[in-house]
Amino acid sequence: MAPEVNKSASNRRDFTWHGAVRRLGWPLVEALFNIGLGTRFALMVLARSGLAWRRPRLVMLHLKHIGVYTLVIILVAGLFIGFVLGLQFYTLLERYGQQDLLSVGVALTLFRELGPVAAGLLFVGCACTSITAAIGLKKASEQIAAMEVMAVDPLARELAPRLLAGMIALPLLTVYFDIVGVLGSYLITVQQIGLDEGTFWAGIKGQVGFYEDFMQGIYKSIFFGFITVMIALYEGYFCVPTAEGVARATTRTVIKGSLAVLGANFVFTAFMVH
Amino acid sequence: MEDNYIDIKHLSFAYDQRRPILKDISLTIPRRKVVAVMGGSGSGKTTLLRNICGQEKPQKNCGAIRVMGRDMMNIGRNDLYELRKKIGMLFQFGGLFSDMSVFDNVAFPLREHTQLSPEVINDIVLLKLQAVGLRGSAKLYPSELSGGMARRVALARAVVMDPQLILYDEPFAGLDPISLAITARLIRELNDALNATSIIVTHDIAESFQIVDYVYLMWQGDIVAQGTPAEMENSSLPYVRQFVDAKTDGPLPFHQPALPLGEEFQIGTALPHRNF
Repeated sequence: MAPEVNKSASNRRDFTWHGAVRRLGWPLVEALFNIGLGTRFALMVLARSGLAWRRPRLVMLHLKHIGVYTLVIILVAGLFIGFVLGLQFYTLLERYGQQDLLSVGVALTLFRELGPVAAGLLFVGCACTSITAAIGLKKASEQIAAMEVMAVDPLARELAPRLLAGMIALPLLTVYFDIVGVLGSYLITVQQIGLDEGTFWAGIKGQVGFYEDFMQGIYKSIFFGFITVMIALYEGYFCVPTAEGVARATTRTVIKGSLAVLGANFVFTAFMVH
Repeated sequence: MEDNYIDIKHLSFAYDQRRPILKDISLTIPRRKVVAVMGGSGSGKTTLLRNICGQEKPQKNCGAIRVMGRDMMNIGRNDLYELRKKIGMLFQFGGLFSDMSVFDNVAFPLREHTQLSPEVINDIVLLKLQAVGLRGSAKLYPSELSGGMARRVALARAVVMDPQLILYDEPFAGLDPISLAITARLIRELNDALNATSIIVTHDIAESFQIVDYVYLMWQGDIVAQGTPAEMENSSLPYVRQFVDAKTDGPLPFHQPALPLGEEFQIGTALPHRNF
């Protein structure tokens, strides 16, 4: 006969007023705890990022994994977005006879806003999910624990190189996205619709600044690379070490990463505009 | 160096305070001995191992753990990492790095902690793989190995740094009889050759009794018996007899604590009046 246990009183629903306060307060406490844990985790990984340069091959390996493998989707998406921007700007500017400004509008939209944001969102969906899954699976299969027992710091060996690779990869991907987007716009408006080629390129050369426009997007993308990879690493490192836990962590990475890119972009733009 | 390589006093541990895993455990493991920690599933053997190597830290006032003279309750991170360089651990499911080949897995600790040349690392790794019979599989990846082969690779990796303390978590699970006999012999020979101390968490009575010097029998977080293999085999203690003879009846219950079956099925309660 199995040993008997008492029914736990804590399993019953508590309908008293302090029970209600507890139910309301618990999510707040949990949210504060997660913010504190996330900040501490980010500082710990950042502190080890310098050490990651001692393993340049690891950084290059992760750069290949999260950069090169994301490149195809960045190029294709950039091309199609360039097509669409070219068509929409042409439709709008034709009404006012201002087609000469088309290339300027496309370039500024891409360089300042759309390039870093779209590349960031694609980066979250493609690279950050794989980072979360990789770290989560390493945790679930005791690889992280094995590393710790072998006196190797997993934050320095596994996480910091990925963070550096992400912060290098996303700005580079954004540059590719910008270039392909402008080329897509060129193909649709100059080669197909018949706008003047010289006007197209002269507009960009004359009206778009390298530091105030192009680099604005690159600065954003460096920060997006940091925040999205950090979210991916956090979710992977603290996920429940089961198949279901890794799946949920991957979903959370997409949600939090995408919202972080959009929210941070607004904050950046607001600061840069003023 | 003190004689008791591992000294645990009144250790209690719980992941969740409502369900204690280890209950006031005290044990000592002398230097150069091979000690088996045995017991049923869920009796706290692996948790004990995790406490010994510092993967888990008990709350204050929940006992004391000393490993190689170090107080594990108050050890700093850097000191813990220094200590761990002298410890090898074989994980229950191998814990092999899935993105590295067998060779790179075994070479990993050497590359991380030593300044040895690639040629020397190559020789050491191949020798360790030869010892576990997998030199021919050096280029394979963990996904291409069977469970038993993965465990043997993990064994090679656990001992590649010639550790002073080796922890084996279920080293015999999933091994065929030949591999099992060779692995058991290897554990004993390694321990003697390295002058190391080994702790084996296992269910395998026949194989482990042949190679170990001392046995601790655990049940539900408690040490219920201890002694040399000969003492355990001849013991009249009901706990030991049930475990060693694999009897279904005895003081060690098969069932985990639960509500009475009748209450669980709500026998005698008419359906409309069941309290959900």
